[in-house]
Amino acid sequence: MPNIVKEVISRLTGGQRGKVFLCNLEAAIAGGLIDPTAVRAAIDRIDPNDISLMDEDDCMGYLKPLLQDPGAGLVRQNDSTAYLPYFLKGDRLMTVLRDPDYYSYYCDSRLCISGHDFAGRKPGSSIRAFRKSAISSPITWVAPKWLLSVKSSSSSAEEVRDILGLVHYGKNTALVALHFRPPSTQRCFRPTAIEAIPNARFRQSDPSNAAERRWGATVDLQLLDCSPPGATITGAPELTLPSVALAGCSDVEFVQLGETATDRDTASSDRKFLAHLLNGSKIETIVSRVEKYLV
Amino acid sequence: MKITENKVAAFNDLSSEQIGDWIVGGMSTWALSGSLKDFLPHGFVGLFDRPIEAVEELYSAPTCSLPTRRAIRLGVERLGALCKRRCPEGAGLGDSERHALLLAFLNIAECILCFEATETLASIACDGAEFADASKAEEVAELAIGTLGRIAINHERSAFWTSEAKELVEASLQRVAHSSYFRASMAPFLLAALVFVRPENVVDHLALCGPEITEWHTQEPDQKALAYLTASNVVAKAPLSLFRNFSSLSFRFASSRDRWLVEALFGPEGPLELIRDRDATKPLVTPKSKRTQTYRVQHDDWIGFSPEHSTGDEAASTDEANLGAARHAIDDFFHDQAHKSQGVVLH
Repeated sequence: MPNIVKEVISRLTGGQRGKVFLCNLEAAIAGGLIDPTAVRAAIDRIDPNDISLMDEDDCMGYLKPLLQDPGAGLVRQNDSTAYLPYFLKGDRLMTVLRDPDYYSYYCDSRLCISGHDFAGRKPGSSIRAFRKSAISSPITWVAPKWLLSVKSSSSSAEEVRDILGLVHYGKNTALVALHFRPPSTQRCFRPTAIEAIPNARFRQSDPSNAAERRWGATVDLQLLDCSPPGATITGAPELTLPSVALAGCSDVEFVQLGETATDRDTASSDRKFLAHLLNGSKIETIVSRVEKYLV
Repeated sequence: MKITENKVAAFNDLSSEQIGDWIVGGMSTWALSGSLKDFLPHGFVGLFDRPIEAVEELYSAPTCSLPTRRAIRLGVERLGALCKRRCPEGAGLGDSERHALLLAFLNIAECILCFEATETLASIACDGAEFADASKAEEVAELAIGTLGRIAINHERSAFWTSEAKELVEASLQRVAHSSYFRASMAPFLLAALVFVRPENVVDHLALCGPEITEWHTQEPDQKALAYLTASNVVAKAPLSLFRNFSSLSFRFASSRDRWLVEALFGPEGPLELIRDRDATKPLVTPKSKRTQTYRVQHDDWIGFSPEHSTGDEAASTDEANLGAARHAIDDFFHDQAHKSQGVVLH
């Protein structure tokens, strides 16, 4: 086992995000979604001096751009473009962002500070205007809006955050939902462990629907916290898109969701989720499998 | 996304200059090449979609010390200066890189309520960050106005709000009013920001923003019906200052400077209710949300107050004989049957 691979894996097992990633990486390789040779090649490019002073989060943050580089070619067979109509069911896509990010990167700047009714931060308020140059993140996570409408009675920030598994949004985070119809040429992808870095609640395969290949499924954070071990914690279907230029989309709308009320990123929740992922195995077993894949 | 306590502790051990250099150096390299190498060995920055989010998360960490937070705030201020075309530290940055840095700067300045950066924000609001592309310059100027205003409106959330910060933010907001990118439609927003920051100066703020609001209502008559929202902001934040200085307002005629405000204050959706008295120049007002409180708002403009007089002739005078007609005119104007049913209140 080359030292750099051993060192990287050793660092990753030091933290929750790393362990989650390793579990999902193992599942993705086993499922043929990720090419282990390409993963090994990406890790081999790391200068050991660069990571010698890094802790697990530094290591994961260092790895992320390397592994997500499209040129690295880690991910295969996850194009779900043909399934987008089934995902949408005639409705729009939905993604969620923080309120300050809406103002910095998406809003029609003049409109947002114009008028007597400029303080559009009341939950439920919406606006359709946006900056013509607005482009979403390089990896944009989306869910079908119709399902959120079914699952969420209040469409509050707390509920939406929980259903979509957005554990990185802690307490008192003001959130905005972006609803849109993508252009007809839009490509979309089933998420893998690579795009998911470093989400600590991503699950490569939903055991309640293990045969589903068209898209992934989020983990419902509220169900995770409140359900007994082994219970279903499935949230909503999810896909990823590359950067989306909003000017090319239709029916674009930003909706204020309010603020989250709780923090789901807790140590007890970490333990519960890891137990779900391991499903009776030990982390050492997962690590051993990953090492074998990468040799 | 939480950062480990060990990581935060490592930053708590750094000097202010080291933290500032880390932010500025890391963000410059990122803007130029997309590389995060100048943030290393603190690779956790790569966990975030945008590196500036990592800085914000560090700032928000419960164990981040006050000196570290102060250092981050100063680093953000330096980042803002870096976005200016003529900044020596930003030599080599093209317009595209500066734009990316600017958006990051605006984002974090708002997230951490960086009062130290408000002068830079005002500067960008006035010169559009000197972008050669006029539309880009206009866009960043408007973004800066928005960021500055929201920092002012939300300032109470910050432990770094001091009297110096108050002076700085107020001066920056006042400067924005004179920017070539400032539009009349932005005046309610600016007024709200000023009132939130220094409510005791509400009359000065009205003098600054009122004419723009009046001008804008001429352009967009529909907005006049929403002016009660701005009036509610004023009453919520500066009620006593407003009532104490009510005599300074000018609202006798339709074109008077503060007419829009008085109409909004006492209109059907407005936050205040007018209580007639025998002396038409000395009515009482009560907040609709606190009807147990009343304030006398003496003003001679009540005498000649009439919606029909729109000549703009401020020098026109009325005499006591018009008192009855004036009271009737006020009643008609506000179309408030509730006032008539209350009768005269003796005080």
